[in-house]
Amino acid sequence: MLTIRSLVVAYEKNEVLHSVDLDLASGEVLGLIGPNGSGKTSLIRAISGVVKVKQGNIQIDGRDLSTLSENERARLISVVPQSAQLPPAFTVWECAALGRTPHLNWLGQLGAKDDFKIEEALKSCAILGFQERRAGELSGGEQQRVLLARALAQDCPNLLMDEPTAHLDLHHQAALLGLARRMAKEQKLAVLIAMHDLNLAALYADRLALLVDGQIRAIGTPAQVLTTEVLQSAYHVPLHVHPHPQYDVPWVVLPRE
Amino acid sequence: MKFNTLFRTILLITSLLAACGAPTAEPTAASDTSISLTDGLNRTVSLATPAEHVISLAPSNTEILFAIDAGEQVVGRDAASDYPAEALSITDIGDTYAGLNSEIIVSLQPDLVLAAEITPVEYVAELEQLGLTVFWLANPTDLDGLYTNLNIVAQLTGREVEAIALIESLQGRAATVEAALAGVTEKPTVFYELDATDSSAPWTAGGGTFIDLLITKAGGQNAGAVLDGDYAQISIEELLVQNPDVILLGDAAYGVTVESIAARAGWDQLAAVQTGQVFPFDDNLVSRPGPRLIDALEQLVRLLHPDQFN
Amino acid sequence: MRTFLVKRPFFLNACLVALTLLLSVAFGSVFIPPKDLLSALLGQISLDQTNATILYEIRLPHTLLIALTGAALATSGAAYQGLFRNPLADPYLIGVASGAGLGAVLVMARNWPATPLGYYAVPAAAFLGALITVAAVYSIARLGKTVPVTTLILAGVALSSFATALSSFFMLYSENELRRALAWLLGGAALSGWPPVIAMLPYVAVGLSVLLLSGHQLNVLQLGEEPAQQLGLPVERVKVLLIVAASLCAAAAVAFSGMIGFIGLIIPHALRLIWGADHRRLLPLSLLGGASALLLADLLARMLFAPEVLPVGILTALAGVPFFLWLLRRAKAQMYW
Repeated sequence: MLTIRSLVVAYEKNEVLHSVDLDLASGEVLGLIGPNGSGKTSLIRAISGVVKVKQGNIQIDGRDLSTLSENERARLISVVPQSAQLPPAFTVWECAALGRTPHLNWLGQLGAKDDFKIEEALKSCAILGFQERRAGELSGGEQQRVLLARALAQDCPNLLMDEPTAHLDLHHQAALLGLARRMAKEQKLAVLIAMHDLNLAALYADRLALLVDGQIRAIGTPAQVLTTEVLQSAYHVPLHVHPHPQYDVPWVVLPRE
Repeated sequence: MKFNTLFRTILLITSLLAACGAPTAEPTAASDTSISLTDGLNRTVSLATPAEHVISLAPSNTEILFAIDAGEQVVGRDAASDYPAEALSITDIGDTYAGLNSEIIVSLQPDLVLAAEITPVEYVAELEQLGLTVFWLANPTDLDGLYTNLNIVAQLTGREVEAIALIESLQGRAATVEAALAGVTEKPTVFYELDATDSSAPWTAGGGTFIDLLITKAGGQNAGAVLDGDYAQISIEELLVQNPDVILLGDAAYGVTVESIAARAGWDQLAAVQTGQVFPFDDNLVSRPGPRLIDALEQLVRLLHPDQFN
Repeated sequence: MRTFLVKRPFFLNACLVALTLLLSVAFGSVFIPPKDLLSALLGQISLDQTNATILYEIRLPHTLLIALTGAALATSGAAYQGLFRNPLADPYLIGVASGAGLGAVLVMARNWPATPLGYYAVPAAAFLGALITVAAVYSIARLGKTVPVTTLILAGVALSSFATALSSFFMLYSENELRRALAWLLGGAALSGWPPVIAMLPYVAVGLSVLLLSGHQLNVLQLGEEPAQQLGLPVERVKVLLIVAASLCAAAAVAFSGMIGFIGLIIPHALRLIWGADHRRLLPLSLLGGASALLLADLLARMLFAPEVLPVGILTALAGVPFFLWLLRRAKAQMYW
């Protein structure tokens, strides 16, 4: 679980996150939404320790992030990045195996437990069947699943996903998000997903946090956050929120130009 | 030869050496069987008996060896040694710059390796580690230094008698040149061209070099005297200002012809080009510090003062 | 047969190294019957004085020097390619070659005296020049606590050009012949005898050991620096470690054998095309492959125009490039990098 208080993140003199407060519980899927440039990626980078925190506090499973070593942090938080930078020559299995790094020694020797975790991760992502294929041969959707498998192999209680559906077609979008939600529920992971598609967010997240210009504008259930007034002021688009025809969530409709 | 002349010659050489502080060659009496000399790297090199299997690492050394009649004692020579013609039939042991071949050198079982200033110092160390005796002969800075070197090599090879005869003859020829120039006041300016690939800034020999020395001894004035170093660059403008009387093409061996000079931008304005005083010159005569330096001297005088010397 | 060899990369490469080592010792300007050589090496017979000198004081140390150089260049090349995630990277990318060249040319131009240090002034200056240049590149490229890879490359290119320009200046205005410096720059200046081998060994040994143990780290770095950091890798520390180790190897190689190109660039690529990009395997294979490739090139360089010796650097370029192009055509269309 994550507890973020008064987080301020700046690049040089430029503040990108102004006093963000956020909570994420185990077994919960939190959807992080907001316009481009609002700071979603910066938030993920701050939590995963890649970017220094200017002010504020991040607690991971009760421990202060700034007191953790890189290795300890990597055992608590795993990240699925936005676009795959998989080495084309590595096999799917080898890519997923890299996720075990925080648990391995300098030489990267894998034990039976590591092999087991990797296999489980591949199975969860339904890519065990092509573990011998080279990453360079895979489609975008398959690559994204490899990234998720790598993060799952990392075996952390907290999972961050940065716009994982950005380059996927519809079929894969649903599959990936469904998988993430299942992981959260079955394995009690705390999952944060940065998304740009508001409707997908409504369908797959338990709660939503709307980030606009580095600040949390609204946080709560999809019904609470996805309202016409809130969204119009955030996105500056004359959209409308309707009840979803099939599920008990809001449905955001964009007007024609 | 008279004992007097021999004695005076040795005295002259020894006193000159003492005055200049050049690498000293302690003269040994003829009856001593062991030879011990200090080479140009300030190392003492000793031979029990005069060397019978010499390897020469430079064309200048090869010329010296042959000139003092030690040619039969040479078992190996570097690739650039092409004079005299007999040298070509001696085993080639590689090229100073492209690589001297240690294996062949060792297989020839030399008792002396005669290195020169162009031999890399590291190579001397390598050869010594292979158990060979190496003598590094420094370049002379004037003609007396040349005679000293001839003497040194003679001692190393047991050719003292031949060397003395050679030195006498060389000195005589140099004296003849000097005499011929006695009273000659005009000193033609000479431009000695080493490289003119970039004809707007050709390369020549600077002041204090051997070429400079020989030109002066031949009754001329080196256009490059104000510059420094063995390879100095002069601009065509400066050359036009100096306007040399004679141009010598030291790069004639690389295919530079007298006719091609006039085609270079600005060169047709030079007095030497207009009066036809451009001559090819065998650079090997001046760049190899050996007995042929006197040949160079004579050739220079013939070109600069044809009336006085022929 | 071919599948057998492809599946056993270490066996194949070790055999190649053994073979090229033997060939290198067997061939030289002076003919010594190979049988005698082998017997002498095995301690069965002893050769006469001259042949013994040739074998033990000339050929054996030269062979080892070349083998070490090839191993050092190829392994550091593979490490650089992995570190910079750039197929064009070679051990000379961030200034080793130009720095070494500048150091060597400075000494050759000034013609230092022949004190005991003077004999090794050239390799010592080359080594120092290489390390100083890399250190300068690194400190220029540093932004606070990180050293972005692109900045490293740019700083490396800039400083290399600067050093090369200075070298050219000194070469042109030196008191001595240009050809010696030129020969060195073409990779034709391998010193012979045992002292260079002994002098070079500690640096290469340390550098290679570190690199060989860092295969996994390089694998993780292939994901990108940020993902690597998110996986718990102390990225900046690993980068420094790899740069120091690889530069140490490359600097020692260049200092004692002159500038030999293409081995560091092409051997890792060739090995990658055949046996994949897992650095835990690629680095040791590069060590073996680099040694045998350079031994072969050196053999040809010595024998083709005997008694004169062609600079090895020329041969590696002339022979290496066509071989590599052939290999590229044969591999799958998609470059597995």
